[in-house]
Amino acid sequence: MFNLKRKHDKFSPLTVIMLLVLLIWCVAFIYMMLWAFMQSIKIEYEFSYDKEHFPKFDEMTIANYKCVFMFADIDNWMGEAGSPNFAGLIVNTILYAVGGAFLNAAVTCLMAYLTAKYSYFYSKIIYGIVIVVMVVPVVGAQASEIQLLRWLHLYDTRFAFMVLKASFVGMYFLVFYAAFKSIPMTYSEAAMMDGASDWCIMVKICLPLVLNVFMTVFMITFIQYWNDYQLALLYMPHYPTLAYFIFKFKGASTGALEIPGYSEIHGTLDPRKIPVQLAATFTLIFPILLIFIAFHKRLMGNLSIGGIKG
Amino acid sequence: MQKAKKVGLGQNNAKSRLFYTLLVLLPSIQFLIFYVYVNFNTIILAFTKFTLGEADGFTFNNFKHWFTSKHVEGIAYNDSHLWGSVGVALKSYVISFCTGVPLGLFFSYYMFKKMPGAGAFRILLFTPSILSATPLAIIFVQLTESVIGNGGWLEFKFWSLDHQYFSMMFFCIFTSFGTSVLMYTNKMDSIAPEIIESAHLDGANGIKEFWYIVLPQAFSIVQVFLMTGFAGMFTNQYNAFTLFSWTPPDDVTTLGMLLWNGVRKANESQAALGPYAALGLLVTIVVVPLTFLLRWALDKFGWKEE
Repeated sequence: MFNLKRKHDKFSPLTVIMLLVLLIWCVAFIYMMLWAFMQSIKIEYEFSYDKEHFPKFDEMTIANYKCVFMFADIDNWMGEAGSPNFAGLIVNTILYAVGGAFLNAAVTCLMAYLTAKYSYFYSKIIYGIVIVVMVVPVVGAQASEIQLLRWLHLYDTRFAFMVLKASFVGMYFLVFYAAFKSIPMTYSEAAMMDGASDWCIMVKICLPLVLNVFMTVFMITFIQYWNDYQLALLYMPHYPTLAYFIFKFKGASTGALEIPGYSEIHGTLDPRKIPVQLAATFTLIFPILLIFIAFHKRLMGNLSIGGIKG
Repeated sequence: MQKAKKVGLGQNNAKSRLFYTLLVLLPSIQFLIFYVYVNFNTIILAFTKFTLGEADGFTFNNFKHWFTSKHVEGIAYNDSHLWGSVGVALKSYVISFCTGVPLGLFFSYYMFKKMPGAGAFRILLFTPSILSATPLAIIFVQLTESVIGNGGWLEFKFWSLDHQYFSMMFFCIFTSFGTSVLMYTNKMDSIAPEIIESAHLDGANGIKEFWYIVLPQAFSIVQVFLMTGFAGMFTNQYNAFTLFSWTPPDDVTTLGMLLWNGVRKANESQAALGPYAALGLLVTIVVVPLTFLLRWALDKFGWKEE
């Protein structure tokens, strides 16, 4: 695992150049994010005159965020009825990200447990399948997937994604497999001698020992699904998630929005206006940034096929 | 010679077998339907002729569409789209590999040496990989259009027809260091300090240390990125859809983008899905042997850790 406690080495020409490049990258990234946040709380009128500088205290507003929440049912504003309000978006996102991530991590963990602990022939087949699927790249199965989902009446439902993601195939299978393999068999054998059932051994002994790995895989997958909009767009277009909404918001071509009291001072708000678009981006970014700040050590832990050390 | 006793749960126990069978059943069915059947159906779909929306026999036309100019159910398929997108995919892979990998390795070397700020740089470099591409794309486009380009800090027009591909690749590389740096640093940290110390005693400077010790040790990770990048070259969109939405220009449309956007447009019509299934199959047939060939070449000619 990456260890920062070791004393640092002396500078060489290579590390000096790298320090400069890294500093430029970091300053650019921090400036980009800070600029976006500051413009997202700027009054549109001020932004149109000065796009570069951060707003003064009296130029700050949360109305851009209010506009984002009010425009959540963006399809309705664009003349296509049926899109949910902001609460609906959150429900879809939670089902999509939490449900999908949990199901994916749980199925992968379960199959890895069975494969690692039960030395049946089928376990070897499962392990072989995972390796083959990871090594052989299959391209362009979406057409067939959509056809199948339509046939199963799952297309454009909230469950389409969950059914697709309840799969054990992928890199995290190997991570769970290594974690279960590292648990000594003596634990299970002692429990068996005391009369514990297979279920009891799995639930009370083995799964608690890999809970840390499970949580890390769950969080990584959750972040991945939270940010993803393309699968929602393809498989459940009428159940937009927050990421899908932000993508649609980016391309919004609707008119201005009246927010009572706001328009008298600052004019009408419009989702096409840049401060509102930037405010929309932060509704998606903030929750993930908070999770990252709280769990960055776990998320950036030593992810390897030999297991995760958080 | 006496056989070693098998270690594992459920040896010769009917209850254990039942428990195992019940638990593997649903995930196995899911795999059979959503992987085996879906891929098998892709092959079938690629060869299916449709008449008035109904399957009507066998055809090679779904493949042929891509090498001529055809309209099926109002969707255009043509060879210029195909070869153009293959070219963009290849070019993008080479650019991202030739810039992203060396920079990622150098950044990781800086962190491996525990130079000042290494921990903070590592966290910051990782941050873009946990954020959604859409917000980052919106912010990047607005910043480059409103502040940096178009006569702001620079005269450069980031999103003009001439520069949009450069801007897209710059954005991709700028936000791509997170996972690679994380994996390189973890790998580099496993290098024994004695090896580095003995190299210093032999008079190795920073560049020699990097080239002869650190790089060979980290090459297995570079190999992983090379392989996965190559295998994903024809499915990767390089953020084209995120940046250019529904109608990306031809010079930023990769094969992955062409496939994905095509399926999205065609999903109402079975007949229009056929050519995309055929294209997917065609690409798989090309990519699989090439991936194995690359793997063989890397194993044979690449750096060895010992």
